[in-house]
Amino acid sequence: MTIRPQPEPHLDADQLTAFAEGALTASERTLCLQHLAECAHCREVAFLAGASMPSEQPAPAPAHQFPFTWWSVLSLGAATIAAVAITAVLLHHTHQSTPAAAVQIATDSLTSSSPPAMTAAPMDHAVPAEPRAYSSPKPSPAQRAPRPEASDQHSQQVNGALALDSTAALTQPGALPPSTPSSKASQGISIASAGPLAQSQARGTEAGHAASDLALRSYGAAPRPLAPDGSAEISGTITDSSGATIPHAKVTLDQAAGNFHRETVTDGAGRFTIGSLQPGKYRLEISSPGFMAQVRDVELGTTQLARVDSKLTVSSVSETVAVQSGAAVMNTESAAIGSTLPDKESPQSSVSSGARTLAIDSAGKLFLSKKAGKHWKAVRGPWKKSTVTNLSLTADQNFKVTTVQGSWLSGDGEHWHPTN
Amino acid sequence: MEPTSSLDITESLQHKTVRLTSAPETRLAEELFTASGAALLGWTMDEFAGMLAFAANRRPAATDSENYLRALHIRDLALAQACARGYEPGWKFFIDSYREPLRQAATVISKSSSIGEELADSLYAELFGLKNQGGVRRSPLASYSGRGSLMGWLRTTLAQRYVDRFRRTHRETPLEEGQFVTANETSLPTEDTTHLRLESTIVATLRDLDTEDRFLLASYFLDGRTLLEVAHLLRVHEATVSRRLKRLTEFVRKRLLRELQRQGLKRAAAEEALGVDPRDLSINLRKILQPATKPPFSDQSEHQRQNE
Repeated sequence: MTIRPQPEPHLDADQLTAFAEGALTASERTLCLQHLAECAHCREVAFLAGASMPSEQPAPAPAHQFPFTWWSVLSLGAATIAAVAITAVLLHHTHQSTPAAAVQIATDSLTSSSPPAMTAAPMDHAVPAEPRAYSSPKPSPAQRAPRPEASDQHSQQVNGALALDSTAALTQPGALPPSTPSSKASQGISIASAGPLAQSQARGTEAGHAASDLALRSYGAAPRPLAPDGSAEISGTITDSSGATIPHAKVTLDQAAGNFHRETVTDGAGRFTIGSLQPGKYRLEISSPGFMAQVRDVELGTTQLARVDSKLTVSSVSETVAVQSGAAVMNTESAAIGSTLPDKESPQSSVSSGARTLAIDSAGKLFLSKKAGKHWKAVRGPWKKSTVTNLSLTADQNFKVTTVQGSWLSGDGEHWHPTN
Repeated sequence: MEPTSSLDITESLQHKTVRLTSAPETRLAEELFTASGAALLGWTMDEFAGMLAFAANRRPAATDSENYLRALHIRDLALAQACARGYEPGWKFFIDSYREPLRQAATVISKSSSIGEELADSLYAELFGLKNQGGVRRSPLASYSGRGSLMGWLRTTLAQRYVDRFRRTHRETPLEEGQFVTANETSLPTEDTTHLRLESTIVATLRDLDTEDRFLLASYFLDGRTLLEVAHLLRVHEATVSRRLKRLTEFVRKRLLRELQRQGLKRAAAEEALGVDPRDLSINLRKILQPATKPPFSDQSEHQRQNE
């Protein structure tokens, strides 16, 4: 401690204590500081008294309060513009997100008693995609198991005259094959459906499509719960030839190789669902008093959700239409068929044979996909620019196209020859 | 050098009779009487109300008396004033509560247990009121206003007594050579106009600083206080003091540069002038930062005198 010349008089203990404890008014504090700045004695006393006080560590003050300058206005404006731009992009995606999930594949309905012939019926009740919650449940390991290849799915195609309906609203979380960059819509759905882990992985590989993913994630189809044990499910709606639903129709499912048997009836809206099914071949019989019974062979894969919509025809006598080969089972786990055509339209109708799928849009243009709807290309057949009015599959798995100029057949969907 | 004494602005407390007259004041006095436990310290209601009225007279100008009284450490105030008046219950409570903390604080201040013990006992006796003026015991506790805590007041009083004691015991200690060299007394002959300009600029710049900045500079550079000590006294964080000091020194440097350039020096010359050895300058920073001014709270003292 040193002895220094001091101004007199000094702050008393009461004032110094009040200053040190922050009990002074602003003007008093200024006076105190003024004296302390000039009086080494009082500073000495204040610091000594402060040293014996229990330590209290005040919070640090903000580093620097920048004045409201031009650059702060500029940054505020930039932030506002960015927020508006992001909102606009999101709204744009909201309106651009098409109900691509709704695809209907139909063949000729069994409205006639003639032998079934495959014809494409226009899709007239496509189900728009429902909003889906952002967060989807994390799939279990069983759910993340790879689903059967698309070719396997399409090996179980239509060989009857049952109207089949598919919607990607049945798209399941998880169990999705790796999506390709070219199928952005399906990719977006895959990412949205596949839980956080798959989402992060997909983002890592396809970060460039984050915007479309976000839009699809928000407005994609609602996932349905999937049986955790990998079992399959068949559901459908039974209607008559006029399209009216048939309640209380009897639906019987028998396993082809086994003694599994399940029966149910349609509800008031003509719908039925048979769940907890093991993969394999089944025989589905639909009957209702006053209608011809229908029998379908259905082959179900793991975690497959098959939708079989049937139109029953009125019959005065009891008749049964036997389907000779496997029923068309829609691949409802993948958004492949739910993808849009190159002209951004949803297929009006489509038929598949093996891995090849043909679809027509609303303008009657024909498109071919060799990868289960992932890639589409326009088909220019010998009918030139005529509008395709009907698309069907013959009993020998050939594609048949009907235009105003006539009908053509093709085994691969690319090379056509007229029917005789 | 004589030890300095505190500003005693509460003298003749025991000779004045101040009463709270209005009904709200009476209700407030009753409320504070209950809240402070004054009855246990030996107070009667009338005496306590008188003490409150006197305390209210010490408030700053333009301050509401009720708010001022409610903001006081009323329990500490009742205890200190009870001790100052020699109320036995109050004094007993004070011994029980503050004797040991007082000794510990004295040890910390003096950095010695023996000196601390001696310092605490000395203050203890002083607080009891050994001084007699006209047959009336007078205790420093009477000057306690209740704005700060009683323990803080005791610590500050201990520090004052320790500084006074140091001055007494070191009165004849020779000063270190050059310790208090004032530039005016030992000014070196300076004929360099650059140095003269620099000196005048430094004086002007430092005198233009506001009080808190001067306090920071004086505490940190003159007294050699640490950032933590300064921060503790100003009730801010250590980092805050560090930033303020950094900004302050940068400001002073820029201001000096600008002033020197304004006086005709080129920037290079101004920067060279700032790099001059401080020992070559005939300025007394301590005197610049610590000019003798009028006593602090002089306005308040006038207000108090008017009230009295």
